[in-house]
Amino acid sequence: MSDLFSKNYFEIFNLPASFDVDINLLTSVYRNLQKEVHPDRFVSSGERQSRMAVQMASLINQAFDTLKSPVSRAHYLLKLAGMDIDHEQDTSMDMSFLMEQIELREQIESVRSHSDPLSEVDRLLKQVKEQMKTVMQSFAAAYQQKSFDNAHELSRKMQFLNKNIQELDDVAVAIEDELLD
Amino acid sequence: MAYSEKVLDHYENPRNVGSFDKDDKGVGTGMVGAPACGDVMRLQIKVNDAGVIEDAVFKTYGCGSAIASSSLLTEWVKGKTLDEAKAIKNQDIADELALPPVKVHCSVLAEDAIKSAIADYQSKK
Amino acid sequence: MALLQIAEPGQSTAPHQHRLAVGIDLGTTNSLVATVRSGQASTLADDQDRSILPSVVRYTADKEVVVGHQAQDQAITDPHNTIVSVKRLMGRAVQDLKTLSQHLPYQFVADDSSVPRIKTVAGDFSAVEVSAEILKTLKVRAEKSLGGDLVGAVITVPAYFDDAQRQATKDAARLAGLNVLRLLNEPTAAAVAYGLDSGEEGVVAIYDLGGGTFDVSILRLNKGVFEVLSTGGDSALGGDDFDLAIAEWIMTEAGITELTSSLNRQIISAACSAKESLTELDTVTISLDLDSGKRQLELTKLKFNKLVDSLITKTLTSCRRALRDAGIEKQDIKNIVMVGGSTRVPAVRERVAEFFNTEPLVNIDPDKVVAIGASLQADILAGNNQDGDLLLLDVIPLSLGIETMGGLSEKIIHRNTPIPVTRAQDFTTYKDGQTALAVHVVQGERELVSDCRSLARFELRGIPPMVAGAARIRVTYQVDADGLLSVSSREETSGVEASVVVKPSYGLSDNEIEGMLRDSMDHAEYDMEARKLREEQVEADRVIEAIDAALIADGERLLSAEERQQIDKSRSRLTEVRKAGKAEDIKQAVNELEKTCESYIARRMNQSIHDAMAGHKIDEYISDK
Repeated sequence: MSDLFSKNYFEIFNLPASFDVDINLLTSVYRNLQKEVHPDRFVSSGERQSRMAVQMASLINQAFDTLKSPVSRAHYLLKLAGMDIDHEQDTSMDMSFLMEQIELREQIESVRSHSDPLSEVDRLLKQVKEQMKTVMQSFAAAYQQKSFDNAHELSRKMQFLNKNIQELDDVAVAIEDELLD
Repeated sequence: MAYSEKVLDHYENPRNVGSFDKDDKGVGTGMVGAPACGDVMRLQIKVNDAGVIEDAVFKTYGCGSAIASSSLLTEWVKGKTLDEAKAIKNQDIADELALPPVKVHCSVLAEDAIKSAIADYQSKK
Repeated sequence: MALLQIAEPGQSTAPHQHRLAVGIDLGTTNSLVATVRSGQASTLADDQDRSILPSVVRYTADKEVVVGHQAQDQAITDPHNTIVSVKRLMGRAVQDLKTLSQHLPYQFVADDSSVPRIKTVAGDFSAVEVSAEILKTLKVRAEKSLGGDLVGAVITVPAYFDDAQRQATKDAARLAGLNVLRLLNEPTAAAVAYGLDSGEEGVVAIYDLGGGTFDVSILRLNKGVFEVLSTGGDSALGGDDFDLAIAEWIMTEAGITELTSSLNRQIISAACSAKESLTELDTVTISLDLDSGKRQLELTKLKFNKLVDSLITKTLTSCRRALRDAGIEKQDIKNIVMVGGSTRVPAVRERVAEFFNTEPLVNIDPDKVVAIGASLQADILAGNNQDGDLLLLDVIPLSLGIETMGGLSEKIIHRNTPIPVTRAQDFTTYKDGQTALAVHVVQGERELVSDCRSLARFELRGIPPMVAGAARIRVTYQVDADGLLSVSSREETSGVEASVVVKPSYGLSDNEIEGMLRDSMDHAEYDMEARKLREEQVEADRVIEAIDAALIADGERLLSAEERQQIDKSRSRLTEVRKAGKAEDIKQAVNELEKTCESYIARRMNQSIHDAMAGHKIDEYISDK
């Protein structure tokens, strides 16, 4: 039996270190682990025990959060593969991808002047999510083939696409709010 | 301490927003991106026969500091030779705008953008 | 209670003893206390059989404190000394009052303290002290009707409360002499009451519109685990605002331009009863007793709905955000649970039903459901319900960040992150020989620090002098299961623990609370030493009991003979010291025993994780086949 703090996030959940994760399995293991370590189990068991429970529960939360989202999972997998990507300052990227990004941002920016802004947002969201799916599949394949530089470039694209999805969601919420007022 | 007033000014009234025809032989286009925050920057320069930057425009999608950094940079490079423009360091931009440490990467983005634009222009020669 | 609750039945050293624990709903308008008796949760009533305690506190000239119905009756005649809706002031700073206090009749003391104090005939009081009076009243009620001392209480707070508001609530409990088992978010409490009752699984939305706060939470219910997916709301929007909207209408209609405190209370009270009547009626007559004579106004339901329409819209905006943060579509919501007295307003129910396209559930009394849910958790936390398979996984409602140079907030922990959570961040020095670093912690979603809420400022001192950029100062932020933040720091290259002085921006310091505790009791009666001793003895008993249960469960399996001997030695030392009765010694011996047991405790927790994983594999195997 090894110490929780010496395990990597996949080991904590007893899962193989791979991009493909069964989210239902991850979630159910997460709940079972929290049942053991959550500080609510140790409310009157003394300060040290509570502190340890908080630390363990925090670690499990952090691990769950990281593995749940494909973007952070990809990032974490690259770190496990030994890439130092936390402090990267490399700004060069596939030129055509960046062009697409600028175009997409322009479209998002002008969505409000569209005759039916909400369905335009939906259309763009669908398009971005479709692209995300393709990139994710390529990442999974690249990672499995240990082609880490390629996987890294793909994970960077995922970060941009994720940002696009968030922005589109924000716009949708803002438009809906205005319609409601 | 207030958000640097210069950042706010360049953010609220960005200079030189726009685009040139990227296929024009006298135009150099630089494109860079910062995945961690999702910022994208396009910076374009128009260079005359004497190798002097006559005009510069940009389009940046990102936070206030990234917009301010690119706006300031387009101001600076106008009238400079390519070599002079290449010598601009991100620290100069960060200092001028008083960028906080967590936003210094925005000035890195601007420095890389101008370098990439110059390289693009030179590759067309 | 076991260290880990896996002690076999019948092997517990102490005979099972029911520990008195309660759930308290400390509301803006009303407060309640509930407990679980023989497996049934119910609210506790006062000697006139009333469960609801109006959250009203009156201070009289002869220094008497009146709480509840009796105080409420005096609100109109004695507005300056009768404090209502004090929850709105919890954790607020003097500068926040400008926006809040247009309608508050109180006079605030202007002094250098950041905590506002209300001027009354009996002296000046902070919101924490006023709230403590309400809690004391409920504590007395509970101990009287349960016939014993409480081991602790679960106190509910709006999910959208920030760190300062939560801390203020905890301080009020401390002042009232209550041991806080947990601060529980109100919608989560409602979900527990509802979920345990119905045994339902799936995603539910809790819509909680109280007197002064609005919360919405999206939860997933699964085999006794209540997982909060997102939470949103407005900590300054509630039924009080409905009253104010009517009050403004009354003033316009009646042509009132000058307001005295007493007239203000009269109008608000008339507005409140008009609102309540319109739940049943289509028209209501409002009678006013003005200086110019009596005046009658007619308010229709239609007009009322128009008056409050934009307020309801605001709540639905929060609902949409919460859904999006949870990544849940409206149609995935199985049920909507309505909580809080203000959800009785028909227009609220109609628009919520329309928004979610489902009839909301109103079968649990919206006034009591929060206190009931809190009591169910209190029962489990106190160790009464060992078989109870209940686990609450909550989230932090507002992002935590720190100020960076330039007045920007750098987010460290994003909103809706599951708690507890720990995040570390590395800093460095920017000047040669720099030995101190100032850190400012803020809470909120905006980019500019000035738009966020200031929580604490502290300085790291004693950093060894180095060239700029060489120091690695790791600052660790920890949000516990109550949603409360603590900060620690360390210089990594030298291993120096830099000293952290956290100064709450809007809170009370420990010294201030201790001072209030002293002031609140008769000096002759107050014996700090005796109180400390009692606290340490209780703590010692708790720790001994926990260790004993653990040793029975797996002491043989997990400990070497030598380790066991060490633990036994520390344990008997604690038993001796406990008898001798010196608080300081007991504290030390408790600490000693816990320290001796630390690696054993860690081993037990790792073992239980290991066992849980093993069990899991078998489950998966079975379900796969």
